[in-house]
Amino acid sequence: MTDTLQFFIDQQAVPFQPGQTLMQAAQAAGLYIPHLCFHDGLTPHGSCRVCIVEINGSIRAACTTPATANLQVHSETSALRTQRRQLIELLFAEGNHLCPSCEVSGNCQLQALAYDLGMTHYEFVPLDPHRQNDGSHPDLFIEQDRCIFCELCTRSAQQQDHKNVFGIGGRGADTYLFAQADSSRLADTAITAQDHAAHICPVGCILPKQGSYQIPIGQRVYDEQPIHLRGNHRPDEQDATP
Amino acid sequence: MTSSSTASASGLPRLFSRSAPLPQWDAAAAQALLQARFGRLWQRQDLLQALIVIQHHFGAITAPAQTWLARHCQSNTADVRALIHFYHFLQEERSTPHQILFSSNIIEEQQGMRTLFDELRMGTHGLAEVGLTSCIGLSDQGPAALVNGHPLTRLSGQRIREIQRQLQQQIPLAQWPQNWFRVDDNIQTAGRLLQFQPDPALFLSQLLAQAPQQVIDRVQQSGLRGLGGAGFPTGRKWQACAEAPGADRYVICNADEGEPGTFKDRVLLQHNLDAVLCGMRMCGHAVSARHGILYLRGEYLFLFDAINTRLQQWREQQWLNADFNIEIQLGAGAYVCGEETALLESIEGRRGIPRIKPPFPVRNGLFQLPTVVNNVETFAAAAWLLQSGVDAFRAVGTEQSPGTRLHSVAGDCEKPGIYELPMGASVQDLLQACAARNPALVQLGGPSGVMSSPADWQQPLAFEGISPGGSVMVFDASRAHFNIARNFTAFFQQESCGFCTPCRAGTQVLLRDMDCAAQGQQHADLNALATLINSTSHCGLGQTAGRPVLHWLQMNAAKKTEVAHD
Repeated sequence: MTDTLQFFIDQQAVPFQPGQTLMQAAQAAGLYIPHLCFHDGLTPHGSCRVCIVEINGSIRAACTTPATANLQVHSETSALRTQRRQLIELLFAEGNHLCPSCEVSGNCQLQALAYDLGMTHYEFVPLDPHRQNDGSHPDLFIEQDRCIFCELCTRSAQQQDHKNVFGIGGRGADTYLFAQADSSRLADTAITAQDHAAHICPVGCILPKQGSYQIPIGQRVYDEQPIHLRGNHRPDEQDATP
Repeated sequence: MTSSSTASASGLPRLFSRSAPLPQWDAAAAQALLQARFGRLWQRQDLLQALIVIQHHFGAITAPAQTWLARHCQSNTADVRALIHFYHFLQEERSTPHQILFSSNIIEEQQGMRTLFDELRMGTHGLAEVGLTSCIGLSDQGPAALVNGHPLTRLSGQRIREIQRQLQQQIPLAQWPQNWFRVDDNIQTAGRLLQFQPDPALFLSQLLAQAPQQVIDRVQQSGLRGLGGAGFPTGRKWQACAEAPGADRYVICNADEGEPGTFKDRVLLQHNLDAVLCGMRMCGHAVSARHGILYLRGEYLFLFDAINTRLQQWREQQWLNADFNIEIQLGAGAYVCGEETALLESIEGRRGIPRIKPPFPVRNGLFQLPTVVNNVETFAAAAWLLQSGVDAFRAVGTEQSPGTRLHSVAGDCEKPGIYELPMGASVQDLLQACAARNPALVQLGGPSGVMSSPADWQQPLAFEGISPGGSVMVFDASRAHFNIARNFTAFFQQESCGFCTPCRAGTQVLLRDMDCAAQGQQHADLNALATLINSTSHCGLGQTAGRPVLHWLQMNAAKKTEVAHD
């Protein structure tokens, strides 16, 4: 009977398997719910909150809410779109996200969502962080001020590469991404440029040192197609070789 | 070794006495301290507890200490630092033997804490680290501060100058006058719970004979609800845990009483500890758990040795044994760890980041095993009702909220302290009892609760009325609502765990833009931002972090409407 299980997103029926979250089922059905910290195949996280949906008047993250039969889920309402945009605006305010001077402009999922959700300007005055960058690794660079604490890299290294590479330290406004080594330097971890974790950052925080500008800005992934059609994909994700 | 290892009457080492920090890192001394703390080989999951011991005895967790700890638990020092940086009471460096942290709750701020703070900081340059910390649970006898983790109460200008002299003359903390550290119970109205002093031998011999399901049934029939704030039916929680599959189970007493303005659990732990332990013991019996943990907030470090000694006496009497044992774990300055799943993370030795729910702790709790987490007062009330019976329990309070409730009252009143009243008593009853002075606003349930004004004060303090959150802060007509809202917002900003976007980034922007608004500068839409934080955050902390601003805006709007109608 499990093949008949379904719930509804904006009146559209979505089939699901027991144990799936709303996001996993929606993704399998080809329905896009905006998100940053979700990645199919990694444990759900629920930190970015961009995938908020409304169920019986309360707001939940689609990526951490288990699907249940006949649930009525609202996603593309104007109130939710506004709140998603505000969350994106908060992430812009919190980090160093100056698109015109960023090497991932056009490939960046934060920027793509900003366009999709109608962000036209800085709603919040930037908080202007100054964290220590890490250029120690021969192939990868960490621009710490762009971290959005989605922990995709942390989870990807653990669950796909089976390595202990990244971690999150500190608290609140002083939360930071770190490399799991006495030196806190990425060069002293086991990560390589071929690891999944090297190709999963949705923003311009963990950057490859080679080939950044091979494809010019204006001809990149999200310059060609909006994120709700393209999905959350990096152009180089297939470069990861397990 | 120093006096830190002085044996107490029970023969247990006193782990957290007022001794001076050791002058430099000493691995052998650390080894001995951790042996005294754990009494067994410790591992990565004990790292937070190890850090707390090292912090207390060395004043900081310096680089060589980090390396030593990291090697011991097969980790790296960046991982150790990540943990240190989460907990406010852990630090990597200490410039002076003494660190004094003033409680920054609004009550203390209104009692002139800032002036004392500035005076001490300027007068002790280089002699002590002086800082601020979130409410330390002493608002009824403030202004208060922690010196090397020990509370200094009833601070005044005179006392600050005396402290400066102690520091200048380099008098060791252990020799500071004892009465400076006096913590009073301030029990103003003692009801049946505060008067409850069970004889554990008698209590346990009578009640452990009951079948576990019978115990659960009685707790269910009593209608007892969790007194930590959320009000979940206690019997249902125990039943769910008992039914959950698992090779083992845990019972956790949440003594991380962090809501600013609350201090009733401190009084229960000092005054009615056996009642709390009896409640935990019975819960262990009811759900077939073998392990109990009392998670004590770092601010109550001064209670650690007394509780530990009492636990040792319980073991000697076989009231705790192989069937069920209780140990203490300490927090280290993180309000969010009062959230039950963050508390589990903290006990497992990690940063206190709330977990995704479901699964709930009754199914997947500590180390993924079924776990009951209840507050201090809940366990004491459970013990009372099991001894006195369901009918006696329900004879007081309301139909939906039976029993009594402990209120911690502080602020503009003649008699701050603890009031145990029947559930359903009104705010007005409480204000009369504490002799409130010209009250205009009353914050109920701490910053995450509600700001009430006279129109609300006939409502019952009960789960069906104004949620009885334990903390009652009274403000007279001279107190500016903006200052209260700003203090609470700053509290949430400082205590956000940093996990989710709205709480981490949103509280920073909200606090900054409140100040901009007050100064007539450009600012974000505070209403929209506070609403966003409340509605989209991951856990209960974030979901209430916008409330102080919303209450302030609502009352402002109401005032303007009133003026317009006049």
